Amino acid sequence: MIFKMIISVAAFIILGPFIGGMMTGICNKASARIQGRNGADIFQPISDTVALLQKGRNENSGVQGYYVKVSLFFNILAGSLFFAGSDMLITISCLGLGIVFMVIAAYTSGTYYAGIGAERLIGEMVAAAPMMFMVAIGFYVYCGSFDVRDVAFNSPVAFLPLIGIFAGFITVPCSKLRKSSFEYRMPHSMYQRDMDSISDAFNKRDAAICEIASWYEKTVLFAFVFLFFANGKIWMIPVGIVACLIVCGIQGILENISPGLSRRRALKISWVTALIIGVVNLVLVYIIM
Amino acid sequence: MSFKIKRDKKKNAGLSVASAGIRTFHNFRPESLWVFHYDGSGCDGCNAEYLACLSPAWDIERLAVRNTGNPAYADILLVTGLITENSADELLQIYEQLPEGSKVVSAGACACTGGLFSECEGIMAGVDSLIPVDIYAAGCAARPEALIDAILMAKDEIVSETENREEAVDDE
Amino acid sequence: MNSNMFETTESSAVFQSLARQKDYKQLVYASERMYGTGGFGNSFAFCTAIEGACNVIVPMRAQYIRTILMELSMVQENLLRLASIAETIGYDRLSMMCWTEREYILEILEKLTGNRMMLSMCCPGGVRRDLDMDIISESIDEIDNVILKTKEIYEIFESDKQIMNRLKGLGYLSKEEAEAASVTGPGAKGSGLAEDRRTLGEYGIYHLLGFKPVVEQGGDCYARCIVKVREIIQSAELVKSAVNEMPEGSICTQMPDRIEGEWIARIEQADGMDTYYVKGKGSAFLEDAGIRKAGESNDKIMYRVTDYSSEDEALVRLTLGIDDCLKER
Repeated sequence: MIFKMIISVAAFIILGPFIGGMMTGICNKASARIQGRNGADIFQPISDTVALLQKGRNENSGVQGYYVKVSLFFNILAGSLFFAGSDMLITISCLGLGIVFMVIAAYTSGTYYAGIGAERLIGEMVAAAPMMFMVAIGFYVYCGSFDVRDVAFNSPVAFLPLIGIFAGFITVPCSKLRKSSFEYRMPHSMYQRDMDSISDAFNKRDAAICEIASWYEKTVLFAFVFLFFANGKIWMIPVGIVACLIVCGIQGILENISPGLSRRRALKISWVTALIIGVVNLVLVYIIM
Repeated sequence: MSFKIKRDKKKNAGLSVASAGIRTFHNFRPESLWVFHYDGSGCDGCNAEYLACLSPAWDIERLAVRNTGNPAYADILLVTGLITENSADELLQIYEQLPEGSKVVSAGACACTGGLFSECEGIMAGVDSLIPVDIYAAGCAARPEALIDAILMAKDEIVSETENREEAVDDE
Repeated sequence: MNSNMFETTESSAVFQSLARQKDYKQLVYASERMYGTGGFGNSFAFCTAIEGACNVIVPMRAQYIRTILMELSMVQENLLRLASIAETIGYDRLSMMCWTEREYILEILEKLTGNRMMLSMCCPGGVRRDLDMDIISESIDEIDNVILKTKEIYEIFESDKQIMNRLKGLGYLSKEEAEAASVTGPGAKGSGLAEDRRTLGEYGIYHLLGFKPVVEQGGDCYARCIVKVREIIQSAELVKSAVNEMPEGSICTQMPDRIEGEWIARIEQADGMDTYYVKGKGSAFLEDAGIRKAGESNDKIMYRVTDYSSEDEALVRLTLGIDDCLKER
């Protein structure tokens, strides 16, 4: 049991960034296709980041680099706890802590654009929080436990009963509502003329670490998607992987079918949808059971 | 950064060793071109043409080109538009932040020579009077073909330079 | 009368210093480079001013060619503005749609004149080169496609609730305020003012084509966007009708070597009114010259429509058509 746990945690730490980077690439590709462009290769984010590390000397970043590394640590910790099969509430809190440290790192640089990026990231986190916790509550109501181990191996497929929460999860925390008014884009959106907000003032190494941390976060989020399809049987694994890839494509499409919401509106809509979808779905689950 | 603490090497030995290891295995730099676009003053035509390069008709993203907002990450500094005496300082600061082995592309008549405005007051006669330029893209306004061509030529220079460097390392 | 009646703006200063070095035929190129994406309109305005000062009447075919090129460059400029607006509100797909259509228009311009943006077609007294009628009749199909696609963009703007949420009520400018501050372009037309330099009949052949300006009553950024979209369709239709009625004839008249007299030309660009003032005293060099671009003259109402802390300031700037061309960075 412990051996299995160590293997899966080690697999996450080694493979996590690759999966996250590839998912980012697929998302960018889907987004480029819907815009009528060809788009970059799906492994482009990975080679971009490795190339960033190969660009020679870095300036010393002082306390900033420390916070970025702490953020990376918390993202890895969140994933490790998840893949070790422990409580998913702790995973969600650790992801939140990772974002908070990234925000502190951006604020310590004291530059204007990094400040805007940090503000936006905080807004995203606050908007996404209720939906994330609703996912955990949904699993608890349906599977009777907060432990990832129990949900993954000892309970039936949660996708159909929790379909409302699933739909909320793939739309609210990861995509559209994350945009805000006067968006300063991340540079992997091609048509950006402004600054890459959050990692703008970081040196090359810290920017690469920031990217890797976001990949770990992405991997954990897709692991949650996978969890909706897990029931401990081998044949559900390909189904889960295909579902993850589809969700990845949907993320790219969702970014492109409507304009971004202003920050205040995003907060309002995401909280209201999370509450309505969550409560309705949970009531239905109670009735079914 | 005003606070320079000299503990850099010791603190991040792990990562630099790892990246050096990857570099001996494979150099990713030519495969991901980060472009920092600096538009000086001027008529905005070259700026619009560079933005058209990002649009579906030209789509330079398929050539592994990626825009960046920080000159410290950039492989290519693309300068368009007029460089005035006021923006000269800005351009010099940006140039100082570029990593080693980066290329400078000056696109359009104004950036190359000052163009029509070269005899006006307070205008620098071209980018190359300030910083060394590797590749010139002609045109008023520089067409997307010329811009893409210049970026790919810069890529070729980066590739040949890294090959030369590897040969030099082998000789040692 | 002299150029001091203009506010001293960057582009006016640059143009005056160029006017001291170059004669009026070379200055046409300088005027075109006062504003990149709307270059043709600027050279058109300068040539009109020179012709007015010299009392030269431009041949009819040259007027038609100028009008066709002017409207095509208005289409591409409006599409560029819409693309920037869509990008700023975070609607990438709409932005890319606008860029794609703009490329078609630029392709037509390249086929007709040989360049994408700096057309260098206007010269005092007419145009430099005749248009190839075969290429034009081929391009009409593409212009039809652009109109169809623009109607799609129009539908998106009319039906998308999120766009309305972002743009409605933003940067409100009432009709009285717009009139008092003499706003031009989409800022005026979006506030219900039917003012357009094309209706005056001072230049081009708009009076023959039965031109009526687009007017929206909203007064906010949304109304200005709708004005832009409708202007694209209108300009494309104008091009089509101008091509159908094109007369035969010469394309350029002889210009005198020396300029005697003064004139003001006002031209409607995508952003508003561009004004050119020229004055000559019996020499190939201009005695005095001044320009006033829409982007600079609309700037002064920014403080009325937005507080500078607003995060949507960029949107208001874009919809009002305020640009940073030739500004010191």
